[in-house]
Amino acid sequence: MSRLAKRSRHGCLSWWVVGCANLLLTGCVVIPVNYHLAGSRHNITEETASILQPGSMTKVDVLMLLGEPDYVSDDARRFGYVWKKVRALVVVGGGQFGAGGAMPVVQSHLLQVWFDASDHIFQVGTVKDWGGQLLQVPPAIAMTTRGTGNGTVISSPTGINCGLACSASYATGTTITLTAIPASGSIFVGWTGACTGTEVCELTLDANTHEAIVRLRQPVAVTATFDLRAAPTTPSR
Amino acid sequence: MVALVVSALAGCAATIPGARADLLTFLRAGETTREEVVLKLGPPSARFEQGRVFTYRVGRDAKQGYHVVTQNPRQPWEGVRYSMVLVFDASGVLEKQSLVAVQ
Repeated sequence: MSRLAKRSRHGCLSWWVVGCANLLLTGCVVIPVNYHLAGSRHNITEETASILQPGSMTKVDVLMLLGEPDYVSDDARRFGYVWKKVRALVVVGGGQFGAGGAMPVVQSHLLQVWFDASDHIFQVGTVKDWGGQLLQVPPAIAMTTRGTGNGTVISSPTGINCGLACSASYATGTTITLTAIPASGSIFVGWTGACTGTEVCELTLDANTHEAIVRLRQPVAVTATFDLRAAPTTPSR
Repeated sequence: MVALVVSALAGCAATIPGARADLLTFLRAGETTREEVVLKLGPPSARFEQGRVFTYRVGRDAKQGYHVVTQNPRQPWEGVRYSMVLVFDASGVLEKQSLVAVQ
């Protein structure tokens, strides 16, 4: 099998720009195309991730929508869907390919969906030029704020600054301190949160200090509640 | 002579084991049980949620109908037209189903 064919089979797209530059001199033509590879599942595309709603859709919803996943993690908290697209046809006129022909350049994609302990979508990610190995669960914090008031949650080390940046990934084992800062006119009421997955996850929530301590080994969902400060009552005369 | 050749070729058309146009018509939400499904379709390609959800890989031939596709590890979706998802309730009765077109 030629070098070209081997690389094409492995689904790496970037090579052909360089590889074909040499072949252009010998009559190679690259035709850009974009279609699902025969035998690959066709119901997953680049847009699929955008229709999966973290927090509201459940594992059963995902199965009903996308069908059986190609990969399921041991703890069933992660689904992987693989699809392959032909991105270019390299047409050659002979030489090292014998009689010549068209060689498809295949790009593999992986859509990963992570679920929390209540089987709701926690995180969705798409990988282009997927090399065949499932990615490790990125230890991440997903922050939400709720309540009648307003406030900000920041993290140390940096990463979370919610409401601007409400999720962040850190290295496994990192200890992150989340601090709730109520906006003017609001008070911090407290934390709620959960660790997903089956591995040890340490989550210490302290409403008194406005701090939550997370030792991150698995995705963690934390919610900070801010309520409006009660208006001072004016004594009647 | 031509008729002989044509009829001979027609006889060579591969028969898909278990293919039937009405293969899936027995599935009725609120009625069909998990046991009936396994008896008629065989073991599922995957189970989820402690067996609450079954999936089957289903092919479809224009003439012979639907058939359950045996999984090929090297080409897992080869010949698969649909991923059929069956969700059962706590008592094992079909609650809802989805025939997801994968090809």
